[in-house]
Amino acid sequence: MLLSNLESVPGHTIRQQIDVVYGSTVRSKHVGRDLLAGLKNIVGGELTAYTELLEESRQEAMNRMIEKARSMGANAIVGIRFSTSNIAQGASELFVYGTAVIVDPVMPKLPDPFPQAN
Amino acid sequence: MDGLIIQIVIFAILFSVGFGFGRYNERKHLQYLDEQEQRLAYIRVNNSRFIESTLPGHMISSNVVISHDYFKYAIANVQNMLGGRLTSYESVVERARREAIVRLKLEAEKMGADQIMGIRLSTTELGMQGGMVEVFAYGTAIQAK
Repeated sequence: MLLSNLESVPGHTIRQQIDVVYGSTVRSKHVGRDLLAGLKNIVGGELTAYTELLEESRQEAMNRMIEKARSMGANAIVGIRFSTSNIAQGASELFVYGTAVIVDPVMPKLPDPFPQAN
Repeated sequence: MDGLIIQIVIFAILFSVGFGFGRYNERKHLQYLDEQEQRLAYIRVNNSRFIESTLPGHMISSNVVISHDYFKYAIANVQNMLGGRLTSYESVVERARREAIVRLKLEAEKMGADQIMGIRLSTTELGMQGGMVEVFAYGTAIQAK
C-alpha cells in the first residue's frame, strides 16, 4: 500500500478514485507511565514513554485505514490527514483519514529511437 | 503552621530542582537541535500539496512529547494571572516543533530522500494540568535521484 499526504503519489498517476477511508483508535494512559510522567514534569524534557505510546496508537489507526482500503481493492491512499482529540480525561482519540485510489506507476521515459537530426 | 512551612520547603525544593535541571536540559536540547539542523539542511522541505514528482516516495511521520519543568510551571502560573505572553511555555512548544522536524528529516535521511513535500504539523496538549505538549509532523519524502 502506497501512502502519501499529497494530492498524488510521487512517481505514479491516479487511475481511479474509490472512496474516503479512515481509521481511529482511542487510547488511555498507563498508570505507571503517568506516575513517571509526573516525575518528569518536575525536571522537564522529553517523555519517551508517551512518544512511543502515541506512535504505536497512530500506527494502529493507520493499519485499520489501510485494511479498509485494501478491502476496497485500492493500492494507494492519498491526501492523508491526522487529527487528535481529547475525548475524556486521560484518553485521546487518534484519527486518520485519506482517499483510497488505484494508481499506476509512471513509465520511465525511454530514449527516443529516432532522434531528430538538426 | 508546621504544614505550611513543609509546603513552602517542598515548593522551594521543586522550584530550584526545576530551575537547575530544566535549564540544563533546555540548553543541551537546543545545542543538539542546532547541530542536527545544520547537518540536515540539505533536505529541502516545503508544504505545497500540488507539486508533481516523477521520482518515487512515500509518507513519513514523526512525533515528540515534551514536558515543562516545575520552574516553568510556577512562572507560567504567575504570568497567567497577569496576562500577556507566556514566555516560559513558548520555548517548550518551539523546542518540540523543531525536534519533530529534525526527526522527520532523520527519517527521510534513512530512506535516502533529499526532499520532503507537503509537510504538516499538528500540536496536541496532553495531561490534565497541561504542560505536556505533543507535536506530530508528517510529510511525503521523495527519493533522491
